[in-house]
Amino acid sequence: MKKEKFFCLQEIIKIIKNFWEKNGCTIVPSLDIQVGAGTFHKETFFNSILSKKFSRIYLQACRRPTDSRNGKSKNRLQHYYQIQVVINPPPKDIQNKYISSLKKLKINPKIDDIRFVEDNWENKTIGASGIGWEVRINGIEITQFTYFQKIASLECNPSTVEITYGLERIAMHIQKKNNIYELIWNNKFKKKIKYKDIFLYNEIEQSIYNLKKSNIKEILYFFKKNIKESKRLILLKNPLIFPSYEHLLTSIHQFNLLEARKHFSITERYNYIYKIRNLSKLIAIKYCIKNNISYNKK
Amino acid sequence: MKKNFILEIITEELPPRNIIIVIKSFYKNIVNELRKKFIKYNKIKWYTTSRRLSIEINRIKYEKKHILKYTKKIKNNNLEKKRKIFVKMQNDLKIIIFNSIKKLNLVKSMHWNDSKIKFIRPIRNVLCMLDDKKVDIKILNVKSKSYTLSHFFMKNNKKIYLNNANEYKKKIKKYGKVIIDAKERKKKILTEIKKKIKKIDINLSIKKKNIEEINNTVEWPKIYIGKFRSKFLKIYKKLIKYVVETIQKCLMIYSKFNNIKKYFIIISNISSKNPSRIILENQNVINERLRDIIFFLKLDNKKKLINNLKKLKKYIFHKKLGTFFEKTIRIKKVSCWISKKIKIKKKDVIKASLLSKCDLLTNMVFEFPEMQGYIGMKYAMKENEKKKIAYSIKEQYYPLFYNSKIPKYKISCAISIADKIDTITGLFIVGEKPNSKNDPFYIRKSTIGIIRILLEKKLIINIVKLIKKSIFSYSKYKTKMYIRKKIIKYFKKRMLSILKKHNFKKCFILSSIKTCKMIPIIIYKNTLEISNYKNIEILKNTYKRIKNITSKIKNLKNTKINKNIINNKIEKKLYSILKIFEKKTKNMIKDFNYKNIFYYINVICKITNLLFKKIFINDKNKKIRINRILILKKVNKQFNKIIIMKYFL
Repeated sequence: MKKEKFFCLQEIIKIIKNFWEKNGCTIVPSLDIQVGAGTFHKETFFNSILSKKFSRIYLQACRRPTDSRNGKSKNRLQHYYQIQVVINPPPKDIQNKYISSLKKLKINPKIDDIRFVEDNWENKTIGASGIGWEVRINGIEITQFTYFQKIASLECNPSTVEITYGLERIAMHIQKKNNIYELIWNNKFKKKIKYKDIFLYNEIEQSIYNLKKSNIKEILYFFKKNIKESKRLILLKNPLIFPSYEHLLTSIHQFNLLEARKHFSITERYNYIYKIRNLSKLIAIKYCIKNNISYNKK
Repeated sequence: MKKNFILEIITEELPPRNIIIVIKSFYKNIVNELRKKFIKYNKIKWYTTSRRLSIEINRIKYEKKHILKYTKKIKNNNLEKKRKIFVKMQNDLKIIIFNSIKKLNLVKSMHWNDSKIKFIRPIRNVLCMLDDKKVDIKILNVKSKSYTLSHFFMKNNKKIYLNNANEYKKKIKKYGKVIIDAKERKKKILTEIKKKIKKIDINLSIKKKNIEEINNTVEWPKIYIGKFRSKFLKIYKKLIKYVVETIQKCLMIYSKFNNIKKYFIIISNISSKNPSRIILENQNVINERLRDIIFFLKLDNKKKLINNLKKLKKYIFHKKLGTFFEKTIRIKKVSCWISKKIKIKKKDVIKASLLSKCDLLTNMVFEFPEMQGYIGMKYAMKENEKKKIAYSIKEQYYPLFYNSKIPKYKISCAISIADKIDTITGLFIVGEKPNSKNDPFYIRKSTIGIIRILLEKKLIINIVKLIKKSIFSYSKYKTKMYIRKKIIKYFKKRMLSILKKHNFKKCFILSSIKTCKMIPIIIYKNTLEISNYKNIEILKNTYKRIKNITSKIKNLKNTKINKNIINNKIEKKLYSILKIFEKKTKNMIKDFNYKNIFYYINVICKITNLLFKKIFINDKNKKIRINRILILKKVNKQFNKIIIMKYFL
């Protein structure tokens, strides 16, 4: 029987990057801070506030402490990768382009059922919300497709379009794998390298840390310190916007760690989010002032 | 001259729950606009798919007089006449569409490009034709075309040119693989499902109402049947339904006895050459999700639900208001107090309140927050708790929405009220009271919830006392009097708005709130009684007259009525009946003896009016004059015990 050829993970990354590079996107490196989603990238956050023309693509590692499963779930990880495409203003045929990128991965929309399912994305910590869809192939979510309506509580107009490819999920579909750890990362050489070879032990240890061993008291302390430092930097006479933003991101990750330990209730959670969101708004406003643009507080 | 018209707006995928609202509002607006312009037509229809909003008008008629106005100058030139009419029709339609879009009921709209315009979803193509001619129109910056686009996935969005507007429905189906008519699509789905289900078992069925939403997510539906592993059937029904229907947008299959089966229906948007892939992958997702649930259930079942109570000490409810453990203790205190008032077993209420928040720490609720309460109930039942106690864990969150159902059992009511009042008073104490725009902790909803439970379950509980009790349970906090008053005021406002929905007049409600203690059911009954009182106008006039006379003389606070100087017959009668009334009102109000109350009021009104007729109040003798005024004042005072007259003036 002839073996079916499929793309390994590193090829998938290359193909998506190449496709969007050809469509005018600039490839930028990932952010070097622990974040829960690619949207937190400086390029996306600040450019969307300014609503200036830009288009970027990057591969971003993401961490979701609450999704820790000790390496036991076949399709859920506390650490995974997203490919982020951000374009402003959105091209008219953006949906078409996205489908074309899937075709490059040999996904055939005449055979596989591709659906845009309503899912309006929202991230309360940085006051961001958008209207959009999760894209599903045969019921599997592989992409989030969003038109930003608000970033840092400021209205986005023109809106930025963001396409977030869930790398592992796409690979599972392409490689017909039911288990994330069995994904082929690289098969160029004689020995195949699987996803588990690279990530499994990291996943197990990080899960233990996230769910059991993290020191709540210390993390709470770090959280407060980061918020404080972020505030200090943004309130300087000549505010240091980027360093302040980075401290804010760190504090958000710490907030996520606290959540994984079920440290607070819905009510209390809101108070934390409120604090972070106000700070992110302040950073955004200072950024607008520095760049001499008007902003809509609505 | 009769012409056909078609307008189709193609967008990116529309929100399935709102499509019908939008298209119906569009349709209604167009009908109204046509009427305004006195344009007649044969039929007007709306169509929708996941990506389209269309309006078709058949045989638009322009009558002779209509045409004459515009073709007066042209004589003997039929062609020119026709052209002119055509232009006129085009212009009319443009205005109609423009106005209809402007007034569209968009549930939520968005920006998608650099124009300032917002619409429900990005518009990608507009088809607009009148018979065989394109109507040039711009809808939110998108110019109209004489072509439509075919199925996005199956036909690559290919252009389909129309020769005439009336070809639309047929051509888009034949060449475009789009069934534009929602009803037709639904029919196709239903018949296909029936066929497929028959192959498994004749007696199986689906819930038809669930199809509506899914029908709005497709253009070319195709049905497949998938199944999950039968071992997952032992998972709680609601969880399976949540995964399959709410998350995965598939349909469950039911047996004759309403049991769910391991089969589910996938409604895809394409007819694939290789449907096995679609089925397999959908199955995989659902199986994985259900496996995750089993994993959580196993984890949770290692411990008893009540064991989580201790852990609640670490789970913060609110930074300033402490942990969920403390909240539980407060709920216990308040619900015990309620149990006495509504006569239920204290022991059961204590058990229920201690269990009430324990499921918040289960892995299931952490993963599916929507299932809070339900999970607690299921776990409690598994641990052989009494049915009522188990249900109270679920029902403490009722009513979930403003109009949804209230708790069924009395225990549930007690826990629900205690939980809600605790949140309300707590947040008022720490100064996080809601305002009109912002109510992040759903204080408004909770307040209305409490009032609705008390009203609809006819529970005799005084809200003022309830608030006092709740504040008292926050023993750590020194609560000032004005905070209690603020909470009471907040409740009164909500009480007013709820009773308004019962079609009572504002003045009656306000009066009842003032005269009755804050017991919702009594306030309701009182409002109902005084709303039905027929002689309110006479009463009002009497009151006004007394008020006019008595207000002129002040400083009467310490003077009392002197019985001995009453020299008039009518006056004497009035005085004696007032005395009787004063004695009796207490019991009459308590016993809801409104028939008697209104009888006395009628008599008092009558005599008072007679008094005005027969004698001169402002007698020359100062003592007599003041005595009379004092009696009249007493009359108004008695009135105010029943109906607060100032609200009626």
